[in-house]
Amino acid sequence: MKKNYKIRTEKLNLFYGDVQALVDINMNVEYNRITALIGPSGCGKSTYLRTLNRMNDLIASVKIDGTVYYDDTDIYKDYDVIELRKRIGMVFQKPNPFPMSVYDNVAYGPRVHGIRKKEELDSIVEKSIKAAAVWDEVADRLHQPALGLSGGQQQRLCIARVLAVEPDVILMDEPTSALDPISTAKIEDLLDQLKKKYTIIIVTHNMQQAGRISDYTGFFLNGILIEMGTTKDIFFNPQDKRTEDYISGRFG
Amino acid sequence: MNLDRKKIRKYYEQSIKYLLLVCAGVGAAAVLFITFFIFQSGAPLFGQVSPIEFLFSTHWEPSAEVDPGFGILPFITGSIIVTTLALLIGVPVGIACAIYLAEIAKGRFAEILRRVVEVLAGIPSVVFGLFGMTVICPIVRDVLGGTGYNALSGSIILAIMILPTIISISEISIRTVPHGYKVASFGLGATHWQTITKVLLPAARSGIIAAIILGTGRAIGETMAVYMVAGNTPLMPNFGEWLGLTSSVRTLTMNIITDMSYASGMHRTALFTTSIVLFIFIMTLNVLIQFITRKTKIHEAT
Amino acid sequence: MKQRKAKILQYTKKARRAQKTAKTVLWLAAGVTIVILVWIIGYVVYNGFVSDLHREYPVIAKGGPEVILDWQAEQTLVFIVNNSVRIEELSAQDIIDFYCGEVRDWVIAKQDLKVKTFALDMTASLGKAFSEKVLGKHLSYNSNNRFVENDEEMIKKVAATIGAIGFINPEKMERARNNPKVKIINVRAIALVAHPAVFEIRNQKKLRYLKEEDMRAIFSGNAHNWQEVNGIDLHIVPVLFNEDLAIAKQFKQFALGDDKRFSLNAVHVDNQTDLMSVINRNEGAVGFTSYFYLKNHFPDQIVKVERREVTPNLTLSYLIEEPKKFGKVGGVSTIILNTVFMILLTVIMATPLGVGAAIFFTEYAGEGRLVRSLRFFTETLAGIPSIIFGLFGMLVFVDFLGLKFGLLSGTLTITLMVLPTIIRTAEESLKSVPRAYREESFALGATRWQTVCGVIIPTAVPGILTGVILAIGRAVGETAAVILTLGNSPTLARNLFSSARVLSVHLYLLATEGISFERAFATGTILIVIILIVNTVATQLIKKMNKMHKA
Repeated sequence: MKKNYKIRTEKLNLFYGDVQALVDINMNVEYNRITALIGPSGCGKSTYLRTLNRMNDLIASVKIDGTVYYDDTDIYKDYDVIELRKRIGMVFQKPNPFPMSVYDNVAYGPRVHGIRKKEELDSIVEKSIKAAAVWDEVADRLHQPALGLSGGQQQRLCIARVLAVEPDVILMDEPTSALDPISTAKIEDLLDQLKKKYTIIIVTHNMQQAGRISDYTGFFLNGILIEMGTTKDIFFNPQDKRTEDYISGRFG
Repeated sequence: MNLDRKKIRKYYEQSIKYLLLVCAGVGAAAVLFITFFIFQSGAPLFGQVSPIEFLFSTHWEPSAEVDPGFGILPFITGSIIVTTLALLIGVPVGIACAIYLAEIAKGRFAEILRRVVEVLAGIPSVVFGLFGMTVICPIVRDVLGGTGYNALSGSIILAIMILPTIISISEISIRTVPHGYKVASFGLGATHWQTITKVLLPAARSGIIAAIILGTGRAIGETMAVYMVAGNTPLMPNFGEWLGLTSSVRTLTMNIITDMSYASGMHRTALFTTSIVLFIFIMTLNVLIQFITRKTKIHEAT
Repeated sequence: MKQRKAKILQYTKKARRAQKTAKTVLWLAAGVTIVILVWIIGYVVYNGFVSDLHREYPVIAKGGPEVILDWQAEQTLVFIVNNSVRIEELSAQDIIDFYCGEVRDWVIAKQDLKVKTFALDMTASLGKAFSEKVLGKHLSYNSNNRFVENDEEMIKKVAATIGAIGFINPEKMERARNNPKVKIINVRAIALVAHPAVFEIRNQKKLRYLKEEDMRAIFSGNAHNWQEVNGIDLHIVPVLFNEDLAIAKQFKQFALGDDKRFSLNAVHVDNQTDLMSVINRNEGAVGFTSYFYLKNHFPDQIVKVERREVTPNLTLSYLIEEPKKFGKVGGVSTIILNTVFMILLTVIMATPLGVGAAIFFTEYAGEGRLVRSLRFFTETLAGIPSIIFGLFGMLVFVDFLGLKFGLLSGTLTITLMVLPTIIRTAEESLKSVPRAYREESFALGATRWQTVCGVIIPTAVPGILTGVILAIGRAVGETAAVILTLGNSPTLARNLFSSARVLSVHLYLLATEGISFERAFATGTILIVIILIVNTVATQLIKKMNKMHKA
């Protein structure tokens, strides 16, 4: 019997104009696990991540070939992009709270999806902020500008903002690279909590991080998925020479 | 159900896009309509008066019963005199200010000068006119004699009015010269002033030309201020005396505004025909500007 | 080698000198620009708040409450006005104008108020003297004049009638003073009289009027020839009434000031007949006496005197009163309101259009041909002069669509004019919204329009506001387009189609129709204040925006 995956990509090719950025990517992502994507800069891992909730649609010159399945549905054919992004949330590299209050930031998503009742919003906001483990720090300043929070708080707020839309997959594009070690540790703890409910795909530069938090790891190089497996296998028993080189630090 | 909602949303988004497109189209539509209506109202004059006569005759007596005259040469001449002199006065001062702002001024003084330019740009033209009537005209009268309401007074007021345009656009174009040019010039031992004249100004040339053309457009199109100070005589300026500067002149814009309130029939048509001439002047300048700024990317600042 | 070094050194020196000169020139240009602005604003605002006029009058510059009707002080009178009249003093000519009906309104007080004259009837000796000496042989009371029998009644009537003026015997001054509804006013009633030769034209020169200090110089003996006081070459012969006469005392007080002495080489006379005969016998002679007498007997020999009148110009009442008589009297309240209506309507129409267009250009438009030409035309719109907009508005909105000269036609025209400003500023500020905000919002499943409304517009608000405010500034100052589409009725606009005069048009008409420069300055001051406010707010907003984007 064919195993069910949360996300599958088959023969995914992506071009920026004439430049091919992704080559024949085949990848399966397991339910409620953390999958880390690693590789040197410009290897295509972020680009790949962005194809999973069709963020690349925003760039006019991008052409995509191949299929991406989400719960066995082709997201480029049978899915409405808005619906898709609601299910597959994304956290970006730099925390980017909107220039409004903490509350409004988190309530933004539910609001654009039609929730207007105050009590409902209140409970969603509280639940999401608590789930993002930042409630203790912002509970007393929900109605102050989110730009006043520290970088780590801002990033967890952005996670809360994603959670408020109630997705079941969260894509994270180097979510801790702009943060200090303490904030990073907090977010890593948070991820461990979140994976009980969500499927998480995280792009990271930091190999230690990938090793610490992920269950599966994929290694990208020059737009090609070189190797994919359990994190343990990739780090301690890589099949490909290039993976081994990268893991042991030869690519810098 | 879900599909329906999706559809509705899609239509909604589409219709908003078209609504916004309509907003964006208003400006363009306005330009086309303006062109159409101005020509439609002014062109019939040429059924009676040849364009050559209209442009080159000095006989302007549009409401005369016998032998009416529809020659606007005096007004074209008036516009040209007033605009040219305004540029002669305004451009050097404006460019000097722009250089000063972009390269030399620092701190508070620069701040003040910048505010001054902004405020100057905002002062209504009737206030300039009032100032001209009560200050410039008496001074010109005391120095040169006559009434003081003449081409010179008009040019002085216009020169002041086009200063902000020339200053701000020239300043931006000087500022946008790549820093490397300046450093390279200093590196060769040039003084600051040599760098300005030999490197910065030539590099900013097209921007400065754009500023001058914009200033020209503003001067030709200005109505109220010149109307209040330039005298408004519908005759050829007397070039024998101070090159016509002490003559009371009427410009194209003044000709339109003076008679518009009561003109009828062919007289009224002739005023619209005058506006066609003005419109063509302005549009030529406009297209020139867009052509020049397309390359230099300073049109955002204009 | 050494020579070359020296040459270079010399050249460097030269270059340095050139640089110094050039910088001075630049500094001068910058200075000139600042000076011009300060001059314009200072001049208009000063004249807006202070009316500082030099006017010529056939009477001297000062007067007191007690008016001498003739050279003798036998009969003096005191003028009173109703408290509603905002005036403290009048000239003798004003009195004649009022009582003969030449002037029927309190224009001199800048009020739209009828002058109601009251006179004592002929049975009272003062009434008789007044009619003979003030109105004279040829003149008579205006038809609306009301007669009263005595001073008591006069005070009562003047107190009860708005716009009233009357006169009483000096003995009753206390009574008038105690009545809060009337006030005693000063009247300038002494005039200068000179030999006809003084007014002749010689060598293309003619005495037009005397300055106050020149008059003082003449009578205190400091000026000896008319040439010294802008007259022709003629010796000055001052003729004075004896100093113990009341008129001489008044003249000394009002014209010379108390500390001044009369000229020592003056000719002294002690009655009117002598005065006139001395004056008419001596070329260059000049004297003083009652204006009423001169006006009736020697009107051509009166020497005009210049008077500096410094009064507040832009007052609260100017802001809150309605304009009357084309703005000659009254205030600008309705015109300010009309301007506000025009601004509101323009903002209501232009903001959604402009911001909508900006959103289209920044968020929706690609780089297609259509978009490029839309942009081109929008840019072009910015360069079209306002008079063309005016003609267009007149042709299309006023005539073609039949909206008449009125608010709607005017604001539609101005909307088109300010559109490029709003679009351009809004576009700038939309563009400066970080890309990340868009991505984040899309990633949360927001549609494009939700992203625009939820994140982009709120972030860009300061910039959008800046554009709107700049547009307001442009609309407020616009005249040519407005005059051709909005009309110039000074009354309050009642609906979208009523003609409405706005501040800029009002200023234009006041100045060019020769109605009143003072009022034009007051209106100009209001405009400048609005522009300064607009400018400051815009600058602050831009600062705020820059700060925000840095953070």
